[in-house]
Amino acid sequence: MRLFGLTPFALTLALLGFGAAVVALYLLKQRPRKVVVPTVQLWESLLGKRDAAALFTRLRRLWSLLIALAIVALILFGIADIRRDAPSTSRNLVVLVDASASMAARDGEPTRLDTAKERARTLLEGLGPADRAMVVQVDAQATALSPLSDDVVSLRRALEDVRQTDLAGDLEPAARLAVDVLAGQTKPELVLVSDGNLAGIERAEQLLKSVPELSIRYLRVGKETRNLAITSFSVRRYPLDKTHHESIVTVTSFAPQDERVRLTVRASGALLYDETLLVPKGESVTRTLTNLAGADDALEARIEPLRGPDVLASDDRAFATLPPRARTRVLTVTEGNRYLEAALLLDEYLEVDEVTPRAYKGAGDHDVVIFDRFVPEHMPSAPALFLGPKPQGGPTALTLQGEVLRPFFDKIQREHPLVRLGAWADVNAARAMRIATHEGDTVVAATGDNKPLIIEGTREAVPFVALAVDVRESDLPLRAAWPLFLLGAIDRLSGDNQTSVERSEAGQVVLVSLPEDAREAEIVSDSGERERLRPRAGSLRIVRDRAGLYALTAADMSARLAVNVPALREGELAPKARVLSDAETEAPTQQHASLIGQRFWPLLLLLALIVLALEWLTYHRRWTQ
Amino acid sequence: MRLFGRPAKVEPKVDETEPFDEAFQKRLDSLVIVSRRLVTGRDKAERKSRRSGSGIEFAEHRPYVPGDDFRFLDWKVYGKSERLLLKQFEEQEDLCVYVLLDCSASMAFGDGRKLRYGKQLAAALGYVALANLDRVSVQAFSERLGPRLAPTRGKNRALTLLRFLARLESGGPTAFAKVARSFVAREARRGMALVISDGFDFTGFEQGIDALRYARFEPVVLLVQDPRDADPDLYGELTLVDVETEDTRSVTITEGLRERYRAAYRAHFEHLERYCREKQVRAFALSIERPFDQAVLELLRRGGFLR
Repeated sequence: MRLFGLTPFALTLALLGFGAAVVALYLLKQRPRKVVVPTVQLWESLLGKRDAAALFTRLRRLWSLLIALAIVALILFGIADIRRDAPSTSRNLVVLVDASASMAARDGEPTRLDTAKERARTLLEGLGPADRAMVVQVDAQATALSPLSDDVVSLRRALEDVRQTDLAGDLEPAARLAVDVLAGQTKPELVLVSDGNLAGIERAEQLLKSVPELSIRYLRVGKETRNLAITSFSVRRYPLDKTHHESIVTVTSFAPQDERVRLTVRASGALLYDETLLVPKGESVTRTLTNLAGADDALEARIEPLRGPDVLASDDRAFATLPPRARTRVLTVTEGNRYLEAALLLDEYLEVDEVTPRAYKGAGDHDVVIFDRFVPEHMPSAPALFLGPKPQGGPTALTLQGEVLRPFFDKIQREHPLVRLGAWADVNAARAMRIATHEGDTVVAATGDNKPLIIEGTREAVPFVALAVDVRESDLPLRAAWPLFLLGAIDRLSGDNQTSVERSEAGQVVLVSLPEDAREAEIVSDSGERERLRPRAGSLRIVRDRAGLYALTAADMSARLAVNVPALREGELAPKARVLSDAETEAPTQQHASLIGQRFWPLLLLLALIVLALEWLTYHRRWTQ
Repeated sequence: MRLFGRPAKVEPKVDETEPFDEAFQKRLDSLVIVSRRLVTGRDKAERKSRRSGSGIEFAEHRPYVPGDDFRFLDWKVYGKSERLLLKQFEEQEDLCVYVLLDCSASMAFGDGRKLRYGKQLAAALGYVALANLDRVSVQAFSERLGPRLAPTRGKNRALTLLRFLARLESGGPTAFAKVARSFVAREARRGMALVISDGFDFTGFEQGIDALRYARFEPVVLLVQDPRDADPDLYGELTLVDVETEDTRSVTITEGLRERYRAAYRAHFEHLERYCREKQVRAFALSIERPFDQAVLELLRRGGFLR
């Protein structure tokens, strides 16, 4: 016998305390209510044998007291949740129910998850009175939905709490949890109810080997394999024309035969693209949709197999979001530079103001300041782009250390956003200023002898980009690299540098920067479910377990978040015949579950009620007082 | 609510309300009219007295003693049996009606309904008697004689009667035997003694009646009963406190005990009535739930107060 609700000391204390209280109440009961009557003589005549009656009364009082003490003891033992020790023959099961994206396949009753729940329910109802089980939901994580319990009712309720997700399944966390739970338990058993499409199986197997005599069973669900999925969908704005964008869509077939599918891309319900594709079995087809316009913020791609719906609908559509476009206010500080003016005209979202170096008073409310052949004494309050800086005859924000004649862009960080879209290797320039670098600066391009030509960094806590070459003394204006660099640098300095947004998958963490005054954010799913989130340090970490297009609002900011099914991992629906090498796959043995099992509290409560009823009955029959 | 200590002492209750309002007096007037219809052809002060005297209607014989008036010797009996017996006659006189009203604490128990009813009975019977030109006296009692209304006569004294009754207070235990002995010792003139009580006197109610009888009063016992006394709404473990003596008794009242109490209550009053019947004393049990004027009319009909 073991106590689960109270410690033996607490139980003893409670028994003594409540017992003393009951006795005290009985002592108080010896002072009955006083009632005035016209005469006691008549009553006296009825109660003549006082001594004998007193003895009998005392006995009745004793019985009544004993009954009250028995009720108290029964209730306290019930609260203490006294249970039988689990017999050595009792089993301890951890039931892992797969709720990953592939379990939404509609080849079950109606889904694989429903079938899995039904099989797990059958398993739980077959538990013996001394057996205990725990229900765990498996997706990218392992979520224990119940403790290790013999209460079949609560276990069934926990099973009902298993919720479908669009996450990629991973067995390792579940195995880790199962090992923790089953270590030291008698007859440990692990039951996995799944289609077997799980990652981390090898690691899980290694973990489970640490539990001696662990019996593993794999209850397989699912039978169909025909599935087509959008395994990739992303969109980006054109760098030089941000009103247009291009998308890339990949459709993969997990079907046993070639399939024709209709691919559509829509923005706010408007059809942007429509094509029927032939997707050979086991292969992928990618389409790049160029020069699309008309989308504000989000696109939806959808496939419809012409032979009829496939078994998993959730990966037949995908979402992608476009970065928002905001107007950028640019101040140019120049004596006049046609190449600069011409390049700035390419972006219609730029609002350009121009001043001469003499008239320069500061950044004002501009987002970016471009200094052409001029370096101020101090950095402006806005990010700065320096083009061909010249010494000003005094201290300046950038330290210039002489000239470099005939510089070549020999060393270039080709993946750096400032230069990746242009060809810089053969740019000719007459000279460049040598700019002193500080710790933390990034030299994006330099000459062969490491003299920096393009630098990114901060001065006086203000970000800047500097091009050491004066464009007027180079052939840069003849090249596409010039406007791409200029507009890229402005985007980068103004924060509008998201030329493309990779699609996020369910379960992935998305970090969103919020306005400084945002104290709370709200995220609304496309089905209308709302959730309030609290940002930390001006940013929000968002993880969604269901695919869809979410709307995020915080303060005066609003954004869309596309979350897609990890179709590449979850689209393969063929149920695995074996998952864990030691697993058996036979049906569970049927046993009769007991109402009470190892628990006594329902019985104790019942007994207390019976005793209470007897007390009530005897009191009203005046057998006790 | 008192939690500790002795139970609160039951204070004597004063009937603050004026029980004899104008409506009550109108009902008394109608009672008088009805009572006259009941006894037609009756003359004033025509009630027969138990007192033997010089009337014209033969009452009984008694042995001759020296000094008796020879004119009342029954010579016919002497001729037959040679015994000198004196003829006695019912004396025609105005009757003196004494109302002995129990004002003990038990009469005021509860909300004092028994005492109020007793006062109403006393008022009604007294009023009828005054209307019949009888003398009426009221004597309150508990364990001793209380306030007394001296014998008075005439309907114009009715208001005095009512005021006296209204002022009566209750309290103390009942000791009717002792009270009756004191009463007969004090009242020289015999007459009808209407004893109005709830009968909760276990110290010798019967001896009190006997004392009246022996002193040649004509006792009539009116037992005022409250149904709540007969079947009290008591249950469970209680300490009963006697309203008169403040004696206590711990008791667990069950349905069975209540049944036995009801039987004992009935037996007590049956005993009193039987005792009175055996002693040829008229006794009536009157429930306070019955309108007092109906009860009075029945008393007048059945009780022989009016002839």
